[in-house]
Amino acid sequence: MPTLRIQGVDKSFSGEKVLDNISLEVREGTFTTILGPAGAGKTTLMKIIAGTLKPEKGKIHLGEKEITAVRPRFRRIAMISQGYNLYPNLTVYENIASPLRAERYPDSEVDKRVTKQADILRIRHLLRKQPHELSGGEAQRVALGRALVRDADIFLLDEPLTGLDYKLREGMTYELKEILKAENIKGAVLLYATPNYEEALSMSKNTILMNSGKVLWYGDTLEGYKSPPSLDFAKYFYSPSMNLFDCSLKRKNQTLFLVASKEVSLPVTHLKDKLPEEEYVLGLPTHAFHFERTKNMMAVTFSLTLADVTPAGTVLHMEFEGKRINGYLPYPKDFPRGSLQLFVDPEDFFIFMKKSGLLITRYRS
Amino acid sequence: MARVEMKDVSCSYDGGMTYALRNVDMTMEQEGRYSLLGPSGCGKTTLLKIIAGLLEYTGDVYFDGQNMREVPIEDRSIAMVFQSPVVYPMSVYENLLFPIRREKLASQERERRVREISSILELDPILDAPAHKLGPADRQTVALGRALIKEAKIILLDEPLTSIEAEKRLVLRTKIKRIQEEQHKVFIYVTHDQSEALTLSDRIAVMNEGRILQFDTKEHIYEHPAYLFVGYFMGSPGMNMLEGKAKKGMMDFVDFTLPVPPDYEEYIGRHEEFEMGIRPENFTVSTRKKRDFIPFYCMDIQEKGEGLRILYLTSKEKRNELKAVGTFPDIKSGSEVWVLFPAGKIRIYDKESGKTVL
Repeated sequence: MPTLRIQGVDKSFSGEKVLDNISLEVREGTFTTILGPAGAGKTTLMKIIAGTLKPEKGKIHLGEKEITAVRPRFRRIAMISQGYNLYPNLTVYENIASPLRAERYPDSEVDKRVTKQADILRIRHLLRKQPHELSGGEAQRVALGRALVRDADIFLLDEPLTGLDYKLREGMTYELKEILKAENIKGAVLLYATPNYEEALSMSKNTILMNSGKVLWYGDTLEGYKSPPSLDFAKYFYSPSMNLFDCSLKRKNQTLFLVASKEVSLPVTHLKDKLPEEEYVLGLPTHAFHFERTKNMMAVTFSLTLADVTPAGTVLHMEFEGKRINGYLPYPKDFPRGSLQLFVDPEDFFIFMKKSGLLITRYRS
Repeated sequence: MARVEMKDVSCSYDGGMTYALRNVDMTMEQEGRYSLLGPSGCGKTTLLKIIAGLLEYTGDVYFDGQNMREVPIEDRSIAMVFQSPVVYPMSVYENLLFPIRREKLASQERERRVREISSILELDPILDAPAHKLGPADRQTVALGRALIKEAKIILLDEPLTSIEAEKRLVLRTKIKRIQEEQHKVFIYVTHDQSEALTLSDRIAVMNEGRILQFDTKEHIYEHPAYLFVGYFMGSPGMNMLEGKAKKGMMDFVDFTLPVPPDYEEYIGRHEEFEMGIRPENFTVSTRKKRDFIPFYCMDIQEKGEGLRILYLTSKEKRNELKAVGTFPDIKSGSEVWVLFPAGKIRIYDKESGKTVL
């Protein structure tokens, strides 16, 4: 099965650009996530790939064949969109069978595939039911079944887990990863849109990071996560985003420092060959805040606006010199608003060029 | 003073065939921040509507010792915020003023109250904007302001953040928390989202199938779930559950055994079968064999974000599966690992009822 190539695609809605010169190549057999907040252009891009929207500019190829002008029903593309859009008058069985019926598969083949799909999704007991009898989680499985039952060159999954309550979502990320290993899917182009970086991390090999109609980054999900390649990545991949501090290079006696504020100041003499300019940005991951000082950590005082407690941990929303700072502690603990001193390990900082936005290095003393 | 007391409250929508709410006994008091937490259909909204006086019920509801059975909604000193934001087609200012427009107040006093609420909720910049043309998050903020401007003692919030886009939800959460700190009222917050419950309340009632399974401080609920369901529902991933049998003074899980924790010796001495629960963050996982560690196999690792990973573990003969959460820098997918079950973190549940045995 062939590679999907998108070249210079533009799209506007009432004069506003929602896709801006998108060029991508997505290889078959690689689970790829399109990650971005609401309004990034994820759904528009998927609709253009599916052919339900036309780009103003640019071309789309599937393998050697250009498909820019090919009508959706001739594209061999399966898509699941947000909101499940099940046919209310058809049984679950007929909902799943509908794409096969449209392609005039013989009854015996339809039955074989629907039953198999129902087994994979563990919904065989629901096949005779009507959509209105289903719970949210069940309807979502049926919609998945309908999208995944046929053979296609491209599978497009647009936020299939959004709208499920979090407990169902938690189980489904693991299960979905297994479901998508099925025979008819694993050789196809598989694109998965989500605003949630944890889904991208736990499921997909590659990630396309989008914001405001542009592709900010495209690469190996895990590598990017561990070592953010650019300021754009640091801002838009993580949620809450990585903390960024503008700083400049200063010399005190014989030592070079990157100084962001009185409290945030890093000795960088050992990195001097890598620092040819004056202005830099320090990036600090949200999980790099500690309550107890160890080694050569530095103390920083923040102003806490909200401690957002989850069983897995606590997100601290803080301010520091007029900037928003997000911290994460891996245990649930409530804090009152106000002044809060935390400790930060210099080794956790990343150093970016201010001008180009590119990562220079991770700080190590 | 404000105190809401419920005694043996039940509610059925179909004349007693099935119950949306069963035998609820609970008390919520002044300056308390409470959540009713559970999956859809658990009865949490039903309970809220009974407090508001919107539903028929059996049993008794008291506010400050007064039985509320005959008291209509307008005399209950409550204010309510709904899942989808309701605003009137007028300016934000007029929306906030609306609930107190007929109260016998000097007009300066009315204005002062509107300004006060507007300031806490940061509505000042949009006071003149038409409320019905705002985005969902701003409309919900206006609805919240309208609920707070009356001098109601009890504020009922029915999933107020569920229909708000994710990015704005946080801002609104911050505002709600601020209001809770500044206004001394009873806040009762209904949600299916555990992190909202943990952030916006001190005490949580976890509900399922019309019953309150546990009503306690959030810390205690997390550490000591009264039911397996509570352990599963609170936590992400939820509590691990393993089926065990008592065998020769040990707990037997088919392909491994563990010593019985002292607290449970008596129960396990009398019961052959039970369920063991343990939270995914409570394991020590090692790449090397150590004393008291049990051999497992790591099937898969998922990055969870924030430097944390989830290990999917299976025991030697694949009879038991576990999820473990932590940083685990040395663990590799597809490798043998050794797992320690700390006795103090093990919880034992009755197999039939799923209830804690302590």
